Order: sequence, then structure tokens, then C-alpha cells
Amino acid sequence: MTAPALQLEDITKTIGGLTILDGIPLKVEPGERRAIIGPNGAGKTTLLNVIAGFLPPTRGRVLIFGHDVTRLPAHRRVDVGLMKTNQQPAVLRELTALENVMLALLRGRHRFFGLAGSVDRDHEARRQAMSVLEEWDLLDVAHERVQHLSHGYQRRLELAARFAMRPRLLLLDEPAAGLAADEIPAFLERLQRLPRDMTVILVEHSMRVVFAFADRITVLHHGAVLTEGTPDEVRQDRYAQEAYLSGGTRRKDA
Amino acid sequence: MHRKGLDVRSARSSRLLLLAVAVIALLVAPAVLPDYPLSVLTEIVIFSLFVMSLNLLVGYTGLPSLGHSAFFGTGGYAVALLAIRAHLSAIPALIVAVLAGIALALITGPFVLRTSGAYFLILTLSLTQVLFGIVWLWRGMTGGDDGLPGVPRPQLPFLSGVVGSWTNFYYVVLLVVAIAVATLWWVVRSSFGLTLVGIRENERIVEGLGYPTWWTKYIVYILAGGYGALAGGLFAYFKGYVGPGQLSWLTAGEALVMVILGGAGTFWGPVLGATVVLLLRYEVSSFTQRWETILGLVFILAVLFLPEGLARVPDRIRDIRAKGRPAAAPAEQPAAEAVGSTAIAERSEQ
Amino acid sequence: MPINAASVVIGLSYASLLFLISVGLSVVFGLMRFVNLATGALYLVGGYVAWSVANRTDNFWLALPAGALVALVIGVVIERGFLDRLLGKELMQVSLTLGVAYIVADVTRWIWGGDPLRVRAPEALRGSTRIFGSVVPTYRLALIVIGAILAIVVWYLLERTRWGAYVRAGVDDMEMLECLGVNGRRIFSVVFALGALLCGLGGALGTPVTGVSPGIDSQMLLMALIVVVLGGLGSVLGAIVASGVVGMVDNMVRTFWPEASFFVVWVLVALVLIVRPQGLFGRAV
Repeated sequence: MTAPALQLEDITKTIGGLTILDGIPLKVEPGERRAIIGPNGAGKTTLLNVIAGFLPPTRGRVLIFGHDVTRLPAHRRVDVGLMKTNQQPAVLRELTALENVMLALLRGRHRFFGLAGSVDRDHEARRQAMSVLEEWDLLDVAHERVQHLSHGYQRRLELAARFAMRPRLLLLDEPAAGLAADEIPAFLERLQRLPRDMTVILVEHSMRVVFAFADRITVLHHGAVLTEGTPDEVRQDRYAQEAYLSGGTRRKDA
Repeated sequence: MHRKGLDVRSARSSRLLLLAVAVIALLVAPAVLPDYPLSVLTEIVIFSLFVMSLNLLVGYTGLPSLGHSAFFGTGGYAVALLAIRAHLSAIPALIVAVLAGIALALITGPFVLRTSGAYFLILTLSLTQVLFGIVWLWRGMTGGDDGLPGVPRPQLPFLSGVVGSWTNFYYVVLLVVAIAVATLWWVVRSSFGLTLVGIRENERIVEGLGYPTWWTKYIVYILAGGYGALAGGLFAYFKGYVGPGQLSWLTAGEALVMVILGGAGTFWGPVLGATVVLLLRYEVSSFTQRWETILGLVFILAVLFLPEGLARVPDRIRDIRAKGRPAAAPAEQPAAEAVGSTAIAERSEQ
Repeated sequence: MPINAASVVIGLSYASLLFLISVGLSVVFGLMRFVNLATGALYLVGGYVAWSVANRTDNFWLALPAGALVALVIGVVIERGFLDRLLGKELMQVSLTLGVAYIVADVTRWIWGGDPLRVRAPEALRGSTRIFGSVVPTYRLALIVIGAILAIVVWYLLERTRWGAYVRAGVDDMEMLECLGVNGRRIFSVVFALGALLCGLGGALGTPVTGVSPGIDSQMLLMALIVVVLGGLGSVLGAIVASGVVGMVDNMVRTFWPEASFFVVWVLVALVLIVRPQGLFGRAV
């Protein structure tokens, strides 16, 4: 029996007396595509930040592929195969697209915190970076500064850079945010092209993306799990409907 | 994008040419310049190293320090004490100076790095002031506000007798700084250097990519301290004297302005910044007493008109010229991923 | 006995001056993270102008607002002319305000010369008073009273008026102000101007005590930074308490070991910063 890709035990987070996450359990199997949805303020982004290690939980454990990473600092979680994207594309705007991907690839490559290696002379890394860019259709903007790229390109670059490290567990924080309605199908297609050996956890508001992409959905409300199940199960769940899906904050086909 | 490639390559070769010319000019300078301008040039070279060390911290990593004179002074006092009291020759003295700077950075780093931005500014200033106070009070060791005079100037043995002592010292400085700058170049072009630029923009993103950013900042702080102390040691040799002024916040403040003026985050910007400020100081003071007003005006004008710094002016010119050409922006985007609404494009542009 | 009424009075009168120069710096930093290195220059200019006016008109009470006003004008020029470019850019702030400081220091040296200038306290406040068994200069007592009144006024403005509530909210979270529909930028302008005014006033009030001379700007800027850092950036209460502490400590150390006052105060600051980076009353950093 292989360990789950992600297991959360009783994850609680309180900040200044306010309970943002309340004893959350979560189990995501390897290769699964899980969506976490819920109204604004439900704690979704906080949860992702706890999983990624940017916020320590007040209580509870985080296990990734069987490793207890609760105490592990954020930058070390890459070692267990974790990568995360942000609501605003996590790309460095002052660097070029190529440099962004190279930064991802160079991690851990050169000794002494990277002092031992030169960026220009690492042809191998450069070759790899170019092929990643090619895979993601970003070759023609390789030498453009990211600040000149459109939002869609930036999002693609963000995914490309993380993908370059072949993560085993990918956390996506509202990746469809900022995309216009007619851009969603292409984006969805790109998402579905992600390899099945990669576990993906997705926080999203766009129900279109969620219901098309996810194997299972977890609904969060006020920092706790309201319900969990397959898209059909969740769609029919009365509580989920009341709290979020119908009368709620978003249109279903948003 | 062939056009872009050609642009980049021609820019690089013209920069190399410029560098070669500068190196030759520096090497033959003593033959052309009389003693006084040569000493100004020497000071410029020393300050270039100092400002480059600060630039590593401020320009590349985004940590604005108003206390960098702490290292400048530490290096100076180390060299002076070793030269005067222990009669140590230049190479070991300078090595100790660098180690002293590194030690200071090792100790103060964990405290100082708890903050960022304006808090970092004030905290670094505070720690330097404490050091200033210690130096001021510890008369027995440091000479208090009188400082330590009588620091003998190091000479290159194989040049003694061939050139005058000022010229000889100039070459000592040039040699040491050249080696330091070469190592600095390596640091900046390494993947460590790329990490710095990333941290400057958004530390969290870099952390998310798996980099130990706190350690990175600590290391760059230590490096900046070491290089800064080296410059300070050279400065003590240059002046033949070290005093609390080398630790003053005004020295730190001016160095910060030199970084900005030259171009924070560029490699050669600090040299430009140091050159401009020092030349202004020397040239302007020779024909008016109001050189400080002019210096102040330059600081202000730099902020208003050249916030990117002098070193970036050629890039800006190139950008302006590029805007004149058609289709200079990113290539046509495939329809499926096209930017749906102009609103999104505008949002990402800022 | 070093701690007698005289040393308390002297310490507290110095604290009044410190409060005046640092409260503006503190709140301006707290509101907009703006580091104003021209603070000392404003104090200096207030002092010099006050001296000139007092010299010409023999009227101390006219000299005070004159000094304060000139400092106010310079402050407004900085704020209106440059501030928007500098928000969030610490390097630019340092460069610009340092430039202003250099210019002011040089121009004042040009106009008023390099010798220290002193203003005599106004008629009513000359001489000394007997208090708690010690004899102290009356003017010093007056300074404490003036400082206390101004501190109460500033405190009241910030803690008891709606405008002050906006300022405090802005120090906490600038974006919140926009959400409340309040123009944060305009509030900042007013705060900046007030801070400059108080600096100049401090400089003017200080002329009978510290005199005015080149170098005082640097000295007072550093003292202001000490107070602000110790008290907590953005906190008026912090500025009040810290001025008191620094004024007293500075004076006490001076009686034992004159050269060390500078060092002791900075060590105090460094220790506080190491243990509590946000200062006594500042927000967590």
C-alpha cells in the first residue's frame, strides 16, 4: 500500500484568536486530481500555504508521500516533490522567461549555495530550460522580460517552471484567476495534459474548471470540511449547494 | 528572435571594448597623471570596491543598508592596528581586515536580517552607530576621535625604484581591487547571483522554488561585509590614517547614494556612482565653497531624472529606439492563449 | 547625588526637544514607511531662522513661529514635490532627503557662518528658579512645560479626534483607509507638514539651550532616530516615552562619563532592537 500523496491530520490554524482552519483532515491519493472549493474566507489559500510550509499549523500534521513534513521549512519541501503556484503568477518579472525556468532548474545544482556554478556556462541546464520552454510553447518569448508578457503567458511560464522540476505533488492556487471566459477551454486542456503520475491539488473558483478536471472535490466552509466526494456527489450535496454552489457567491459556469 | 540576439551581441561586444579601453587607461594612468589627480583616481578605485560591496547587498539583493560604513571602518582599523602595532605587511593585514569584516557580518547578520526595507535601514544604521561609539570611547585601542595616524603605505616590491611611491601604491590598489572585482563578477554571474535578483523581487517565490533564502541573504551579507572591509583596509593605507569618520553614517549614506546614482543592481554602476560623486567633490570644491549644495542637488536630481542610475542609460536609449521600430513587442500569440481582454493585458503590463 | 531635581529638569527639557523632532519622523515612518533624513536639517533651519528673527526684533515669541514656519515650508516642498515618486523606494528616500539635508546644511552655513549661535531666553524666562531643593534655569522648566503641552496636544489629536483615528488606522494598514473611503495620501501630507513644523519649532525652542551651529542637524537626526527606534516606529506614545528615557539617560550618563553618553544611548537602542525589533510601542515587525 503506497502512502497517500498528501495526508493532513487535524490541521488547525489560529491567528490572533481567530480560527482559520479547524481540525482539517485530508487524504489525497497519488495521481489523484483533487479540487478544494469553498466561499471566500473559507481558508483555502491558508490551507495551501500550510501544506507548502509557508505557514506553520497551530496543531496537526502534514504528511507528503508518507514523510512528516510538518516541521520542514518551505524551501525543503521541494525535496519531497512539492511545488505550488500562486493566485498572482509566481514568476519573477524582472527576469526573462528563460531565467525564470533556469532558476527553477538550478536549484541544488551547484555547490556552496550556487556560488560554485555559473549561470551562463551551465549549458546542460540551459538546454533543459529551453526544452521546457519549447514544451510549453514559450520558446519565442524566452528572452523577454516577464513584465512584458501577458497574464496568460505568465501563468504558463509559472506552470512551466514548476513542471521543469517534475514535482510529484502540485498545488495550484486559483490558476484560472484573471483568465477571460474564452481562455478557459485552452487552459483546461493544458491542465488535463498534466501527466497522471503527478498528483494535483487545485483551489479554484471557476466551477467549470473544477468539475471538468477534478476526480474528487473537497468543500471547505469556515475553515472546516463541509463535504467531500466525486463531482457528482458534491453537486448533489445539499449542504454544499446551500453554502456555495447555487445561491452562493459565484455563478456555476463562471 | 534574431534581431534581439544581434542587439544583445553587439551590446556585449561594445561593452567588452569599453572595458578593455578602461583597463588600459587605468594601467597607463600614472604615466599621464600628476600625483594629485592620481591620488584622486586611487580613491575612486577604492571607493568603487566599497560601493560595489554595498551594491551586492542593496542593488542585487534588495537589502538597503545605511550601516555599511561599519565594515569600511572595521577593515580600516584592522589594517591600521596591524600595520602600526604589529608591523604586519599589507597582504596579511588585508586578509585579517577581510576576516574582521566577515566576523562582524557573521555576528550582526542574524539580528539585522530579521528586518527588511526601511526597518533594515534603521537597524543597520543603529548597529553602526554603536560601533562608532565603541571606537570613539576606546581611546587606548583606537585613538578615539583622533584616530590612528601613521599607517605606512604598502608598495609592490618589484616596482620600487622603478616608479614613485604614489604610483607604486596605485598599482597595489589596482591589483587588489582587480582581484576582488573579478571574484565579485563570478559571484554575481553564478546561480547564487541569480537567486539574489529573485529574492530582491519576491523572496517567497524563490523560497517556493526550493532555495534557502535566509541563508542566501546571510551569505550575501557576509560577502558584502568582507569586500567592504577590504575596501576599508585599502582606504586606511590610502589616507595613511584611520579615524571614526570611516564609520560615520554620512559615509554610509553617501555610499548608498553612489549606488543609486550609478545604478543599483548593475555591475559597473557603483564605479560610475563613486566616480561622479568623488569627482564632484574634488572638482567642485576647488572653485566654490558651496560644493555640498551642489552635491545635494546632484543627489536630488539623480532621484528625479535618473532613478535607474547612470549605468542603465544606454539600455534606456536602446529601449526608446526600439519602440520606434515596428513589432518590437512579444511575438504574436496563438489564438487560444491570446489575451482575451485588453484589461488583462493592461493589468499585467504594470 | 546625580539624580536630583536639577538633573531631572535638564534631562526632561532635553526630552521635550527630542520629542518635537522625533514625533514627526515616527508617525511619517509609521504611515508611509518613509525615512526622512532631512529631519535634522529642519531642526537646524528652525534654529537659525529663529536666531535671525530674535536678533532683529528682539522678540523671542516671534522667532518661534518664524522658525517653525520655514521648516514647514521646506517640508511641504519635499512632500508636494517629491514624495509620490519615493513611496516604497527606500533608496530614493535616502538619496533625496540626504540631498536636502546637505543643501540645507551648506546654505545655512553660508548664510549664518560656521560659529555657534545662541539666543537668549525671553525676558520672562531668564534666570533661575528654585525647585525641589535645586536651582535650575527657568527656561528649562518652561521647555518641559511647553513640551508637555505639545505632547498632550499631539496625543489628543491622535487619540481623541476622528482625524487622529484615521492616522492610527493608516499606520496599522494603509489599505484599510482606502476601504473606508478616506484619502490616505492627504492625511499623510498633513502629518508630514505637522512633523516638519514641530521639528522647526523644536529647533527654535532649542536655541537658548543647545544653541545652533553646523553639525547640530546631524546630531539631532541621530537622536531623533534613536528616539523613534526605541519608542517604536509609528507610535506617538512611544515617541513621548522614549524621548523621556533618552533625555534622562543621556543626561545621567553625561554627569558621570561625558563622552560615553552617545555610546550608552546607542547600546540601549541596539539592545532593544535585538530583543524587540519593533521598539517599545511599535507594531510587530
